[in-house]
Amino acid sequence: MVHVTDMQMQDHLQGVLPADQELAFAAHLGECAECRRRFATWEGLWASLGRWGAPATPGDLKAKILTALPAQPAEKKGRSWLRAMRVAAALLLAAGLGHGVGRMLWRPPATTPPDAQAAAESLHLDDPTTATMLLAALEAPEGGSQ
Amino acid sequence: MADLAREAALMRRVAEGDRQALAAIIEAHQERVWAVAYRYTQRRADADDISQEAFIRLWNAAGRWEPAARLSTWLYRVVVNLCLDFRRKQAHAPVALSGEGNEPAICDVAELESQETTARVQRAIAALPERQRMAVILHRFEGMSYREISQATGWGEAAIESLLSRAYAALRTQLADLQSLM
Repeated sequence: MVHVTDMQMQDHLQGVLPADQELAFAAHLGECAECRRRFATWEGLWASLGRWGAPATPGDLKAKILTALPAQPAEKKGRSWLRAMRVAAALLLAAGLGHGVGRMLWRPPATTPPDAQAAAESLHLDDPTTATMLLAALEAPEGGSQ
Repeated sequence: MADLAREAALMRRVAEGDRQALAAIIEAHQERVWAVAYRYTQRRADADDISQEAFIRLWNAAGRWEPAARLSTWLYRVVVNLCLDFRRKQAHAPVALSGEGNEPAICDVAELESQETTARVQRAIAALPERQRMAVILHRFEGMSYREISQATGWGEAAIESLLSRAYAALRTQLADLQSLM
């Protein structure tokens, strides 16, 4: 004989035992004195515990909670902060990418010695490159290239 | 599914700082939240504090809300954790019983006996170890199934069965004379 379990007895007392099990439950208790005895104990305990009725919720609980709330949810504040961080990160990334691409595409102009500008000014030339060429010609060893 | 969608919509409003939406949630859940906290701590002021903290946590966590579970399950979990943490913090504090001693004097004998019976039940539940007490509160008083208790507490169903079995056995012993009188 398969006896009724404690859990089934509890479910029956809670009113949550499935309907198909209720029939089997009642049939078994009808023929099993041991389970009837056990069930009587459960019924007694259930009723004893039920003497502690539902406590009344304080009427001002909602008002108290709403008064104690922070102005905004912490997550909302967090999300604003997170959004700002994301924008900053995007700007940094864009700047970094721009710098990298710029470096890849940039070709340095013809080398201009640091003193080319001064030489151009002293020779009254507008173009430092011309001055650089003149300086180079002056510095070149006599006799041309060897 | 409709309930989940409605709760998700409310939580989105809460995440945007909508106090009306939170007020609606409080109204829907405050009784059960407070009842669990009260039955566990058996002090009204402590139950107030725990309920308040639970809803403030919900307010702050609304932005992360994912509608995979019922809001009530989430709230139960928070309340269970707050209760267990609370008891740890209050480990040395005495548990107040029987209406905290601030009820007016009762002359009616039947009413007096009824109050004494309630106090006996309260004392017996207060004497249970933390997890057994919480399991009984959720099972007997909140009418939750083993599975629902598992979702609310994070404890396995086998552990809950064991907790309840030991708790009810202890309560049967404690309240044996009450049962014979009924």
